[in-house]
Amino acid sequence: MLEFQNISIYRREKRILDDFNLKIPDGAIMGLLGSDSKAKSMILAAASGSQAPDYGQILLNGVSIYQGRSRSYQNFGYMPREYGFYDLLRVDEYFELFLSLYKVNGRYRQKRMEEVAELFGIRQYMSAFIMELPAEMLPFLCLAKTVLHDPEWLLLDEPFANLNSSSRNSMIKILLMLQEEGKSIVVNSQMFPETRDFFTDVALVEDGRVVVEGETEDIFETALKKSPVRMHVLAGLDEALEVLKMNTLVDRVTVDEKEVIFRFNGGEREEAELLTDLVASGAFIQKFMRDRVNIEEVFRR
Amino acid sequence: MINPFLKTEWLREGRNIRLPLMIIFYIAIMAFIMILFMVFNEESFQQGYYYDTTTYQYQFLIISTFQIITVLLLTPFTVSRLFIVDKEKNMLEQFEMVPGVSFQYVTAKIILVLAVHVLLFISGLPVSALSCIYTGISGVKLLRLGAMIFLYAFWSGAISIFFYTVCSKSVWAFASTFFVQLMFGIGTLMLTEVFRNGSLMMSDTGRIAPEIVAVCLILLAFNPLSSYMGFYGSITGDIGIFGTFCSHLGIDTSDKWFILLFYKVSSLACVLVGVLFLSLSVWYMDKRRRT
Repeated sequence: MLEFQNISIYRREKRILDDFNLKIPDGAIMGLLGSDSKAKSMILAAASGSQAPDYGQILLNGVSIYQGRSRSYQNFGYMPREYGFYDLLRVDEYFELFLSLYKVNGRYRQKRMEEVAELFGIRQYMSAFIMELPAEMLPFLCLAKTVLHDPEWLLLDEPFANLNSSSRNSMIKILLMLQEEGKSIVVNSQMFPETRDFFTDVALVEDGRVVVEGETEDIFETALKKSPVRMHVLAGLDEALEVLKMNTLVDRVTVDEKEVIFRFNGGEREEAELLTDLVASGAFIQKFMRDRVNIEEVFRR
Repeated sequence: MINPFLKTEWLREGRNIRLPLMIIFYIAIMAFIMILFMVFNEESFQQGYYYDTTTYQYQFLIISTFQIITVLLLTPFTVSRLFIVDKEKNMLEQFEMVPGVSFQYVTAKIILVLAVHVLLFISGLPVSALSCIYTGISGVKLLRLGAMIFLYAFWSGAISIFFYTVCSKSVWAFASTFFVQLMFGIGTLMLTEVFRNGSLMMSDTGRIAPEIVAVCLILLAFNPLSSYMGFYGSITGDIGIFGTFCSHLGIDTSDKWFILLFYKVSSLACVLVGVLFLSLSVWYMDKRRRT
């Protein structure tokens, strides 16, 4: 388990993380959501060992990663938000640099390079210069470098930025394969349609703190309850309003001509029951739907 | 490999077209100086006179001075190529969590700077060796010239690496490097002169205070040109310009041990300054990682 305990980080006298606490279980794919991108990047940089916190500690399986630094860095693969490449290096030479830094030597080095090239489908590019690679390959190359030394934890800062939907899906596929191999993944990303089912856990970070955290399904269910229901009533508006008034789960009803908007604190079943009651009351309903869930916005509100 | 950056840096530098271009221009300028000298002394060649080697002595000195100046001018450019600042910083983020990486990174850069200048020296060796033969100077002086180039490349490379590590913009790093090099080269001379005149003005006896002489000697020792002037003097046979400057301070320079010691100390000071700037670069990289 990766645990952030009361982490505070100040940079240039500005507070980036403020008493930040988060527990990430082994094998999870944790999505860090929210508009505070500096804080989210800092969480990953701190966990990778490159940005020591001013206060608090980061524990990996109960041991501080800033103690006995010689070993802990090998447990993490860090993909920064902006990655640079040495254009005049070939892909295999670029990999070799990182493998040497992580002290992966001998016959295993070559084997590992081949494994990663196979996984990422870049075998044909291994002898190519980095500057010759197509631009859409570069995020994959950086991710490949991140997993080269076979770390337990992958810390990915905006890996899906600048990727189109198809590339995002390809990357998610690779990351899911890595998770199956037993890796835990922490991703700083905005919520894309593709990532909804990809994240097993999410944490919403705002102003350097965790606003909400938990399993993705639970968080979405909570968010769903918080998002308003829109109903378009063609006839029988009074009957419909009467039903809404009687239902204890309905809250904050607003009417705009034939459009009725209200909060509904029930789940899917309760929502179906309410709709049945509305129809039974004689209201002629053309549309009945929840607003699209944007969990970042819902929890920020 | 003990230092993985070394291979990477060497591959990057070796694959860059600028390195062969630099070598071509370097040899061309040296050959031009050599040919120019031959043209001006054509009679000795055409008529087969037994010529005076002291005339050609200056040919070797001009060529060696060109080589030294090239080191001081080219090193900041060489280092600037090694630090394409924005890209480099993005690269650094990817491995700065690895312990000891700052040291490896900085040492790889300085070794590459040294390698480039050794390569330039070797490529210019035929011209400087020919000049040595015309002059009648022993090959040991040629080796000493190589050592001087190595020393200056280390000194200038260390300063450049420090500023390219610290500055976020290449242009500032470049300007700072030149400014600091000028301060070591000309600033120390000016300060020495100021101290000397100040001491003379305040003294009733018309002599410079011994403490001021000691300070001036330290300042002169930190001037990187001092050691080259020692080399210059060893060829021309005089005490060298800095030896003359020491006489100007009222020091008895007739003692050959003083001159020898002074020039050796100035070479050592060059090395120490280089080591200091490299240590500062490593320290700054570690500090940046923490903060």
